[in-house]
Amino acid sequence: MKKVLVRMLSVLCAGVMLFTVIAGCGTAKTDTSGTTTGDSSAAAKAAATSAETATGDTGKNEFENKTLDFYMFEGGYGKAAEEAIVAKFEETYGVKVNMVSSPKIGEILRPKMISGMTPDVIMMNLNDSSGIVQALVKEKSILELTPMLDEKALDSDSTVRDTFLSGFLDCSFTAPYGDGTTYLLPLLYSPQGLIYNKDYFDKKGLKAPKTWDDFFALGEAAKKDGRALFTYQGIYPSYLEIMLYPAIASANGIDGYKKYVNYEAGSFKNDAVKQVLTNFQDISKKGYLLKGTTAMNHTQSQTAMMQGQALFIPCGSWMEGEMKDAPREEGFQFAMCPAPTLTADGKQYASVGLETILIPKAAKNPELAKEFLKFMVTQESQKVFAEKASGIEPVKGTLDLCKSIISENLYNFYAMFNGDVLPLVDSLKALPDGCKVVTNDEIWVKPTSKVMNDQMTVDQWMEDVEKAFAQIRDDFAKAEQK
Amino acid sequence: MNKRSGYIFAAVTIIPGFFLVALFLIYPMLQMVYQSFFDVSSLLGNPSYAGLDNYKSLLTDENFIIALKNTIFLTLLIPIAVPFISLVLAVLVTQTKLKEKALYRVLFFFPSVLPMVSVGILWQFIYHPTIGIINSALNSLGLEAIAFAWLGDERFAMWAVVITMIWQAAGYLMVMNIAGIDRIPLELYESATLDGAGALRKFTAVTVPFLWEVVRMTIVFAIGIATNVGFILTAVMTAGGPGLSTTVLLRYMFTQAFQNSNFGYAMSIAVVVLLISFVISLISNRLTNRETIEY
Repeated sequence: MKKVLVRMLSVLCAGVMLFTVIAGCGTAKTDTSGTTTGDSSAAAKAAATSAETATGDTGKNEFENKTLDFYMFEGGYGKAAEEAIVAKFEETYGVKVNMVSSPKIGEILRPKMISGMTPDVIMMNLNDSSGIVQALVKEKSILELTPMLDEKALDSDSTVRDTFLSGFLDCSFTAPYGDGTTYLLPLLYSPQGLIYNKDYFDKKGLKAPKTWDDFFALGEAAKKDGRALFTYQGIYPSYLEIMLYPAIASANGIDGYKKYVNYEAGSFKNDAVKQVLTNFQDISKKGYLLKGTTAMNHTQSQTAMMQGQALFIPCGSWMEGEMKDAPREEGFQFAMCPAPTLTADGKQYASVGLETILIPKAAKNPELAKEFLKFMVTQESQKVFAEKASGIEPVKGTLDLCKSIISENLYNFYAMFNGDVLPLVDSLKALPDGCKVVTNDEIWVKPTSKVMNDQMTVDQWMEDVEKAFAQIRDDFAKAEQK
Repeated sequence: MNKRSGYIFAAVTIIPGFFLVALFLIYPMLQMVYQSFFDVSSLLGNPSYAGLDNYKSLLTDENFIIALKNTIFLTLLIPIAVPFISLVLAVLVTQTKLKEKALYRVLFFFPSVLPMVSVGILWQFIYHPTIGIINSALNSLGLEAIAFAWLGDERFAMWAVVITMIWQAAGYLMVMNIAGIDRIPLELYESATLDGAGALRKFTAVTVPFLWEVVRMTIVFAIGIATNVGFILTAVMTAGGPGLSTTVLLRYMFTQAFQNSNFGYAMSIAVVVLLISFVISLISNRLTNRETIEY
């Protein structure tokens, strides 16, 4: 008897150990709901009624008691705004939202999706390194949003489509197949450009540059003051996209730039691009580059700029939050201007970052998911985003709506778009299946420091990128044959 | 306790550990080799069998060749440099008459308890082109001409990382060597002294032969350090740049997997890393295999 007991105990112990191991693999779920527990039916009914009154539509209680799985990337914006909106959505529609958020949401999603547990709504930053969105795009597994966009917005008479700023719904981020059909809804945007110290510019009577000539003139002024004109995030040279892509779009026209994001032959090797790249190399050749830039990481270079060692650094509006604890010169005030143009009458562009939200084709509740997307872009949600996340939606009139809520620096960043500056939202098209060209390496990592150290010519740079593009085109052709 | 319950006890204690190793080490490794023969380029789709295609592509991929060279450079240099330096340090802190021996033991070991990312960031500031301690010292000595941007120049970046790796890893292997040295009977040193052996002779004739098994172990450890720590430190300090001058195979694998979604291809790169580690371990084993002196 005793023996049996010992044996049972040891098996039990082993079992417990195994279980703890397996349990450790699970993921933590943030369940923000709570409104639907308890006497749920009464609450849900009341909520459904309020949904009817809120939206003026009588068909809303079709969603009652349904569950929406919402997975979001938790990045610089945090998750407070989404939590507030989710709570409001649950209350209004009498539904339950399982919201899961994590900075590593891709790694949580991957195993789930492989095992067929697809969420209803995914919110991601397209720079996400997990490759989830890229994979979904490749596999054409995202629900088309056209019908939803043509419906009326929840809080106005215009269609959802008409509430958005132009250029955002048909860019290559949100309409990834190049046919203008929207698959990902742009939810938040953040402007990117050349960041400078407004206080210093005001004191010295300097003006943000329009053309490259203006830009270099500022370089001379800076030199006299013991400052460099320019620095960038040396070991992460792809930050230069923020400056050079808009400059190329301006020099080459938006169509020329679109050819570039589609890897077309000659789109990187032409006179306009050459002029832009030559100007870029001149920053170093003429001694306007902050010494040691190529060895610095993002915080080091951004700190150097804020301490007044350089006038400009390419960055996005996130820099204010990212650098909030960094030392800076007295009176430092953020401001942003777009990349320089070749001619005085050239169009100015500025890149924007996007947080997008999508519905997978395999979603279990696509109708409820669409309603959730529409709910995310109401004026009330816009204010919640501005207040809780300093996030601005690419929706008409939102900047004025939220002016009193956001900080002055942030307003200054977005105000860049008040004039003639156009948003540049297109990024390189998703690579074909099995393509092994690492675009970031070919376009930025391999050439940049060599070009800045004058160990490589601009012609060679253009040549190498064209070679990589040719390979990508070959891979596209091969993928199509399959 | 009878024999049988002894077996049961042994089984119960071994199984969880075996299970963990099988689940997190052996199974992924087999999967890795298996998947390297497939074209796994999408998340949800079915992988198609690719035979040796992934391996053939490696041969023509010039970025892979650069990363391969960098990895081989590290896996050859680190397993020689780190065990040697750690052995010298171990001898210095055990057999010399330095007063601060205890302090040095702590100081040399200290980098091993720092998180790897902190080590990277720390050295990034040491090498900082303008405010770093190295360039500040050079500038104050009037040597501005050689105050380079160490991590931003293809000529120096890899060596800068190597120095950081040695600093990080030598202390850990030093402790292993110290433990080995403590086991060498003191009489041997005494009789060596009587025979008129100096410090160097004692090192080559007593310490090294008696410590040989430990040294061999530190070499194998250092091979692991060369591949893993090399990946982490280059990721933090240089992001594989400037150019691809500090891109190692694990970094290239990571890029292919998570930037280009070429999981099958990435697995074939991982297999190459495995092979390099395996072959170099084998070579070092052969080269260092001599009769062990037991005492």
